Amino acid sequence: MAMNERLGIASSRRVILTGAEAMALAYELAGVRIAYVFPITPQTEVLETMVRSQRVRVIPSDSEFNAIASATGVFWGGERCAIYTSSQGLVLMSEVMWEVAGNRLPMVMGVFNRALRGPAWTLGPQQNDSLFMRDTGWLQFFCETAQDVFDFTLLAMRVAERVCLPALVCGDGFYLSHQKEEVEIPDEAAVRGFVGELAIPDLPDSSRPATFGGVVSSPQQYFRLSERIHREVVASQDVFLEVAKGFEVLFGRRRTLTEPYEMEDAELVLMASGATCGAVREEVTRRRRRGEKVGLLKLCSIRPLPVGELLRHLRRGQKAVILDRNVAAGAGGIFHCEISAALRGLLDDIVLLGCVTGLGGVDLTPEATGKLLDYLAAAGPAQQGLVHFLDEEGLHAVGRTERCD
Amino acid sequence: MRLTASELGIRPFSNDRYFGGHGACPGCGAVSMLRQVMQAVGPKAYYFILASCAGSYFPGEFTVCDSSIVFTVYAAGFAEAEGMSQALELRGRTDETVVAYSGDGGAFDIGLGGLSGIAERNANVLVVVNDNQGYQNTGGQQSGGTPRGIITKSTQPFHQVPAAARNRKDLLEILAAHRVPYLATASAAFPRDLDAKLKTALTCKGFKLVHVVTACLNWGFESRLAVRVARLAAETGFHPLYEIQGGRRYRITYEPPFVPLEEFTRLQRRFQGFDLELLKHDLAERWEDLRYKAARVWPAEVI
Repeated sequence: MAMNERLGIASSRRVILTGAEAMALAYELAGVRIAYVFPITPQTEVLETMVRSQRVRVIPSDSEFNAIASATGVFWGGERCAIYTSSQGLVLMSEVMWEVAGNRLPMVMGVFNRALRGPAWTLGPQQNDSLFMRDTGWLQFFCETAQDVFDFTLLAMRVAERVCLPALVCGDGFYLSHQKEEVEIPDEAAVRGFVGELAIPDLPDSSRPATFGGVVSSPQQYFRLSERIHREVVASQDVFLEVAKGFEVLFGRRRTLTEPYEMEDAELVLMASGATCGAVREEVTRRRRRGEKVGLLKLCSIRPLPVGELLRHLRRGQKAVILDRNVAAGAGGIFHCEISAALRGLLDDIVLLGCVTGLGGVDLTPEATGKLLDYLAAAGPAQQGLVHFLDEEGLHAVGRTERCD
Repeated sequence: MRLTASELGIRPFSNDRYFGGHGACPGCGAVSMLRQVMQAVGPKAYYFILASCAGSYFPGEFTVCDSSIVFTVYAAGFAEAEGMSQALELRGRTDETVVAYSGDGGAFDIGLGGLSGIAERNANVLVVVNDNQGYQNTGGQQSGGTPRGIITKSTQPFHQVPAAARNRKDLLEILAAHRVPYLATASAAFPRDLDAKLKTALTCKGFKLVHVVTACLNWGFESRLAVRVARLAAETGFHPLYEIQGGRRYRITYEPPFVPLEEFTRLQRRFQGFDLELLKHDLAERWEDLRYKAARVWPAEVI
């Protein structure tokens, strides 16, 4: 392994890459030898990057459903497999995704989030595709930058293999898949050393006949297996931090499940995931220059739900709003629903609003974020009962018992 | 002439690779087929089992055979088997066989896309189709493999589509169009033929499929008759036994005596109120097509 003697970490080079290229490169440097692919915008960029690799055998499948089925088979055969998708492709995979998690196979799948064919077709980013799978047992990480994509792909492999659960590494389509940024790419031997060899404790072996994935003989067994998956997902918060320690020692970057920005004395807090953080960060920086005590808490995962880290960063008396580039029809933003439920009883003296933004790729600007901050400053507990929507026409709210006359 | 298993040269059942304790229906016609498949394939094998009756052939918590079993969701089994074979190849484990085991619902209907996909990619997988001509695990509903005119649990009494309005899919023809190395039909009641076809299949690197019509109790026959029903299926010409090399070269492996079709149908409740003339017409047409293809002589330079 080549070292950077001055910093005491693995040597690296700085390259200009799209998020899609960063993802393909992470798989390749990790030594993944096989990929099952099927094109879908905006993920196709990853596919096209990987096809140029001489080391990864890229197999064009006949659908996303069969691509993930084959990837499952590759894991059953004791090999890692690269796989990535978006939108409809991910939803088409959903049946197999339950099986992958239930079989405890540590598959890592890249997702460039794209809105689903709900009210119409669109290519714009929205997180409902991967969030649709949040109940399966798949871990789910969200990236803001191409560097995040590279780092989280590697981190996800180690965490997934430690807890024997699969993981999604998600980034907003186009914003992340297609834009070029500077990314620090470490020495390949160091990456190999970090991810290590795939070791799954229990795989089919023809010399030891066994049955995998069959019918349980009692509902109680099913119940216990489901509870165990829940426990492992919760525990993966700590596993992530352990794995991230090793990552920091090797690569010099500190990775966590939430990233505070200007949070120390913040009275108003914006929480967001993915590329949405870009606009929010910009507005927070402007307001700080004006002396306003505002901060950003970037959410890097929904599974595990980083409750431990949220409790460390949030304080009583703060007002916070969670921006969601997704919507659960009838409930509101999914991060908001999840985090409000999780904090209840653990951190109650806080005003926590939910705001749906950016659906279908609507651009969230720093100016719009500013309007939301002004609204938050004036808000109280009464506004917690509303679901807010922030689009190009402004901010509006829907009550939870409102009739739609 | 009736021969016992030992007379047929099948290894004694004490050396079976598929044991007692399975959960298949007593009298199931597929179990004897499965036993023969496992015997021919040997223990160094992985079976990917698509959701089907086979969920009960292989209980989840203990194993009734000396091979490894992986259950998959319905349509995923073919592609999973392909992925496994790719991984084994990368790891140099080329002495192991990957089998995808499907019912007719899996192969003809819900998994047809995946089956076509691994055929197109010539995946090194042996596919065994246990065709009991319907969704029998759920009680006997119509599948793409159900011959037309048969009354199933999903046949509506008052809105019956005329039998002539639909057709059973011809799986082998669909796959022959993919020009895969080896395809065959077989029967559990013709063990030598089945064994020979499995062994030929296993000599091919790439995609191979053996399509076995197995007698299912939902067809409405006495449980002791499964083998006889399967035998009559071939003897009447209802289930032709043949093989296709390279998707082009057909060979009929069993010339049936064409026992009257009624001897086969009268044993089964599913043919009650059934238009036998339509079935006879279908069979005559199929045999005509089969003989034409089997008689075709391919010039040496294209083979």
